[in-house]
Amino acid sequence: MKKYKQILWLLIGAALIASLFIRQPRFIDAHTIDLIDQARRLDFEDCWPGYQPDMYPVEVYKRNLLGRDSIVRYDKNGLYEIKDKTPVYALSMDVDPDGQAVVRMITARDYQSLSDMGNYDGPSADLSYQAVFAHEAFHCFQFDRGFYDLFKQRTSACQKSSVAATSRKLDHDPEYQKLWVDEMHRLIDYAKEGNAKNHQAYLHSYQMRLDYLYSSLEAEDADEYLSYSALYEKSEGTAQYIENIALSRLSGKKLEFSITGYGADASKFYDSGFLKSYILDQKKGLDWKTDFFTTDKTFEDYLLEADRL
Amino acid sequence: MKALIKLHVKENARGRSFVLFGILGGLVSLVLLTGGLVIVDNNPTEKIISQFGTQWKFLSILSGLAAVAVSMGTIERHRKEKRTELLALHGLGLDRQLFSLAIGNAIVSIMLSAILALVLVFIVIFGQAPTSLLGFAAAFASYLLTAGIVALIVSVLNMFLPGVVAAVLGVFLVMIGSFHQIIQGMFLNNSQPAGRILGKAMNLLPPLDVFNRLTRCLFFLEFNGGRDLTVFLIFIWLTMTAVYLAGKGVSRREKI
Repeated sequence: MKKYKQILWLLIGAALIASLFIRQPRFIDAHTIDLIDQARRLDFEDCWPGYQPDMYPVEVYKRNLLGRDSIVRYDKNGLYEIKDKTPVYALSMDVDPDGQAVVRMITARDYQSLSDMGNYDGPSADLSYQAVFAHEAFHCFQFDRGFYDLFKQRTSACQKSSVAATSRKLDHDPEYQKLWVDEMHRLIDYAKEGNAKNHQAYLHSYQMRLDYLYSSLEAEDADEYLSYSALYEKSEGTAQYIENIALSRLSGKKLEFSITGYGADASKFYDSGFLKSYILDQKKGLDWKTDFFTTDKTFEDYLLEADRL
Repeated sequence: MKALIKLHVKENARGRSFVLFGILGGLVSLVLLTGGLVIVDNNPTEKIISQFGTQWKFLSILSGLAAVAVSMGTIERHRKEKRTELLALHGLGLDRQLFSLAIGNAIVSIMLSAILALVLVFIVIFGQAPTSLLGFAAAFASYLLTAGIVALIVSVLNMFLPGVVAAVLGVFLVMIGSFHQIIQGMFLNNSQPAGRILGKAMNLLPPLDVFNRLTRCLFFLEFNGGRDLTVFLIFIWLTMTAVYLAGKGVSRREKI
């Protein structure tokens, strides 16, 4: 009798493990493909002319239970597995040797796991996944517009300079953090209500931060830091703008403007760039997008002008 | 065997820790329901779902720690007592004694976890929770079984290691397991061979966050696939098998 129980127990285990293998999709799960398909069909022509998420191939990180993990590529040829390339578990963009920009994704299930502090439900995590797809595909669009030549040039210059040390120093400076957060609140007010009063309040707040930077740092370091922050705001802030718009459209909810505090390193530039992109987009007749990625122009070049809202 | 399990549960299912965890769980539930929320901008999740989801996440971590507190040192203590040999003389081999104690630990942990979530249960019954009776029962069962798995693993560790070491490893297991997928993602994100190996090796640790996601999916009635459930059942099976084999191994080594 005991022997039969043991055999039954082993059979249960074997059946469970076998079901895990049987249910593993050949490439990627249908739900992930479905979400990517929906995200690729999103139309951003009204908020960034020329940007279409379906222009770029997608490479999804595939976890294999026993073998090495691999990449599943999804492009005009359909779905196929690439085994001779090192997979990277990330949400980002990559460039093929032939110069084609590619969106790097993980599966929707993996994405839900990464964003999981208990505060997302399944459908919301799916919406967020699609919005992040739009964000990463926008980085591919930036690449196509020539921004990455500029980005590489500037970041290699930053690596040789002391900007990393300056950034760390400011991240630990409570006074600078206070000034930054205050400027963000002024930007939020300006985004919510684009009147001259809020514009002036933003200008004042920006000037206060600028004064502090030049009074507490060497002029050269302050210039370098401002150039570094403008670069990340341009790169990540515009992509965050696209992501937030995608999320708003997919969820049917209004865009939210809020800030939870001072973000260390480059994380704060996502929010500041998003707010600035939104504000500039409200300015009727202002063409700020055509050469934004090919020139040294910053958000401030437009925001500091007289209010035209 | 049943008598030993009953005795073990009776000896351990009382005391201050039950009251303490009851109060702790109640406080967590009340704080999170009266405004405590992990805020994420532009998160389209309904507020009430975020609040209940965060509660389940916190309760899962606390119940894991409670299971470690309950199980640490119990096996070690039992083996030092004279009744081990007495029970063996009466026909209950050491392997079956150890198995009984591990099951007893799991039962006590499950009881403690139930007390931890008592306030949440009242809120669900008398408040407006986005669930059904069946969804809540299934979610509650998976939440309790997760605590049981932790207790069984700590029991296995305690068969080979001193109680304190088993407790430290148990806490490590709960903390890593509660953020398993995020930590695994960090390893896999590092494209170095060591990162990939560590990422794969993490598949051997119980993903408590996946079990917790299963709990939340059942609670919010959005259960849409069996993968998380299959992983959950596989870990229950593996843990029970490990308890059985570890008991056999210890018994054979000590020839009782």
